[in-house]
Amino acid sequence: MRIFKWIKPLRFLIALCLVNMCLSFLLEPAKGSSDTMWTEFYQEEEIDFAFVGSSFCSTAFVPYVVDEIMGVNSFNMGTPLQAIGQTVSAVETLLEEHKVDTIVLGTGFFVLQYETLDEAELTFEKARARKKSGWDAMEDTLSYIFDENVRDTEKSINYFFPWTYNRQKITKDYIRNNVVDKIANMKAKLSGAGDSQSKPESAKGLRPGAGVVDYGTAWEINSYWYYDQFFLEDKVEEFEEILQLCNEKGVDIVVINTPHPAFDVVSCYQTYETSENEMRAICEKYDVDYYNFSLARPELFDSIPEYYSDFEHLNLEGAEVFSESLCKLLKARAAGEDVMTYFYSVDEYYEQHSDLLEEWKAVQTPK
Amino acid sequence: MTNFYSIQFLVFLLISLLGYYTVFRKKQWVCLLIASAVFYAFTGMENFVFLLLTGFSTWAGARWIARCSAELKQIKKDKTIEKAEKDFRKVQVVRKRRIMMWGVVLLNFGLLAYIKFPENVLGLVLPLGISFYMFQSIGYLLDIYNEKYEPEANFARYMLFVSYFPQMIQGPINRYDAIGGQFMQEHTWNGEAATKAVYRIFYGLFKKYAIANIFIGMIASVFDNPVKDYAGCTVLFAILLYSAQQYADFSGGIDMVLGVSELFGIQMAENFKQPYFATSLGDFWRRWHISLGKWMRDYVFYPFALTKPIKKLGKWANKHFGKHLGRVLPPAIGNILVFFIVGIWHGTKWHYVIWGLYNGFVIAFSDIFAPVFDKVVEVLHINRKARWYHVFAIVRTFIIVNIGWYFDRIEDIKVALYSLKKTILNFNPGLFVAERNILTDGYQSYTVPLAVTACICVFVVSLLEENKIDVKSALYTKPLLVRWSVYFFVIGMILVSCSCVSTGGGFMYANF
Repeated sequence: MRIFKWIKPLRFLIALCLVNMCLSFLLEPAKGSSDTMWTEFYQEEEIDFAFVGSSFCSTAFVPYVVDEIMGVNSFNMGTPLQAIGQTVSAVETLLEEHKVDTIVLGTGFFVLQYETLDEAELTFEKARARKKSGWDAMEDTLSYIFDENVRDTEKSINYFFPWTYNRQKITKDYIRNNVVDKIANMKAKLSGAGDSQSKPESAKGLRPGAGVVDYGTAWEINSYWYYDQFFLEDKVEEFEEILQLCNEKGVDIVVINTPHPAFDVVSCYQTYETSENEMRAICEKYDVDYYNFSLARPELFDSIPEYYSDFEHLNLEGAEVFSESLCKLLKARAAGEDVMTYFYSVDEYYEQHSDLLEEWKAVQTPK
Repeated sequence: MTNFYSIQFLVFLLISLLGYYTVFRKKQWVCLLIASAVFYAFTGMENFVFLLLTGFSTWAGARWIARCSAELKQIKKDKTIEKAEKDFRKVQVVRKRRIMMWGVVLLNFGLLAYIKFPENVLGLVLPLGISFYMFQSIGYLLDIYNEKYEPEANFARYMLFVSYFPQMIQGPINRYDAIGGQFMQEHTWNGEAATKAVYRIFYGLFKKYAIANIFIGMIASVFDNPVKDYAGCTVLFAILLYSAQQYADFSGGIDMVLGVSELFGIQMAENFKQPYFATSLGDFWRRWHISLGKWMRDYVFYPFALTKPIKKLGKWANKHFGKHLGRVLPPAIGNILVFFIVGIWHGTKWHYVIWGLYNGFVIAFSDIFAPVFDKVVEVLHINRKARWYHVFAIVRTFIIVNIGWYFDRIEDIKVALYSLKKTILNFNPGLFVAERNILTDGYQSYTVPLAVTACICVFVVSLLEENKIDVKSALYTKPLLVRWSVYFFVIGMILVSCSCVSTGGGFMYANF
């Protein structure tokens, strides 16, 4: 009789799990960014050079370019909307799984200025746990949901319902295509061919997209309008945690502020220098090299409009050129050259782009 | 731990329930005391100092008062003492009782005032649930003072009454005679009661997440943004949203705590009874935050109305202004005092005081001018028992309550008055569609339909309950498919609403 007492709630829980699984199967994207990145990460046997960060990272660094020039086996762990807290988690996983020599943290001021999106955080953590198996997956899940910053929040429960946070706009086509992709994945797995979503040409992390920014909207869509221009204390702490962790593990870490088009840099002229100085000061505190590629001189990286897909991200063409520039910088740095000569100071940069700055000042309105 | 929708609370609850119905089956109150201590420890160990101070002072004070009461009875019974001596000793004991009662009351309320009112100056963080457990403990002390029941001899058992974890977040303010006995009873697991309790918890989460949390940002974009100057219709819309948010947040939270308590077989005081179906402001306050209203009635209103000066005032009004005013003037003043205190309890800012006084004065005036209203009704041949009049009274009360919300929500009194003026004189409905889009800008496309659906659901449930239909019991008797469909719908709505807005587990009444 005692057993029968528990059957009622148990059958409800089983039904809830089944409904949850069905909804997740239908709505959770088969080719989500975090899922793709973690799938490919766990397929890599050896990584000695890694890029970490948010979409600034995933759209800026192209591992196959870097591998060829630097003679390393690199991997890009960047994913869209990845909060700095998740980057900490990515670095920890990276250092646990691989013997890494160099980490390039691809970032922007925005990373330290925005509140974490729960959806992005949950998607990232769920995808990572899913790529592990058995006990490791459970351990990963438990360590996330019982993390001191998570356990007293809704995230600790919502984590188990991925269709609520990891999905695209729901349309008939989306669901149909998603189901087709998922079935293909399952078939590939069953036949032992691995996950069908990881294609050799796109391995080593996500790829930047194609497309060029519409310069007609430059003064309406830019960092000035999108972001608050001050750093959040908890984000700075997490940023510092990465630097400290790398220092402790003896890993060479370089912080790269990925390039933005000139119109975007001038849009934040009132706060840009302060943000630049703050970011540099944080890195100096940990004796970490920091380079802002928005301020790069043309001989290092010629920031032409065709390289950007929007006001803050590079497209594939731009990312390939930028990756070459990065390699040039890293080689010069390794050779002991004074690489700061490759960069303008903020004042010099604004002087170089004074026409653009005046144009912005003429159209700028208060937020 | 204060977030009921979290893995931490879920694990805590499951462990507590397991212990309660198994290992501690013969000493269930001990399990609850341990669970309450653990729960409170998560909010900060330093908070125990305040909890213990209140607990010990009211427990010891009540014991002392009870001893004095016994001594007084003894003196009264004793026929060996002379009358003069007897009177002298009676006065001494009565004075001792009163000094002790006032001493404990002032100590606790002084502490509350010290922590709560100058919070910005002292920088002290308000311990979780302090005013709820303090009101509850003072209620107990006054009940003992009034010899309503015997004091609790066991300090640990008394501390369970003070610190019982479900009530710590936002009440209700329980009474010892209603809940103390339940702690000592042996409770066995009851599947039906547990199912209803779980449903209540989910219904509370539904209100909190699918309504209250979704409206926070929309309301804030109207009232917390001095740059934008919205039309009167949008201001009114935001006030209506605030009305819904307040109800969904507070009553949703109360549903959760009562549901959690019901899992342990403990029935706490109900705090809401469809307040927006009230037919007068007085009726509204008998349906909204009921436990606070009852506390104020028993420990402030009646004692105040029975003081000699107020009685004298009643007699004076009776003599000079007639029977009606003689009867209603003392309670009218009592109501104004009660709502003044309720206003201050909400916060030290002036807008809360104005909001409290507004409620007090409206209730006082409606009592004082009742004969005038009766006359108007009589002249117009209005049948107060007619259905339409009932609906009219509900709508009228809803409007009066919402006028009050302007002063509750808008911190600057000038802005509140300006907003009220704009609602009346510059309604401008033509601007509503454009301005509503600004309010919902940045939300997922399904956010507003979801919140509207949730509001309709809550309205239907409230309507059924107003018509004496117990929805939980009715649902329990329905076929499995119907029940599960409702459960899945509620759970789905909660989950989806979490993806509409940033998380926000905190309750509006958690910091009181």
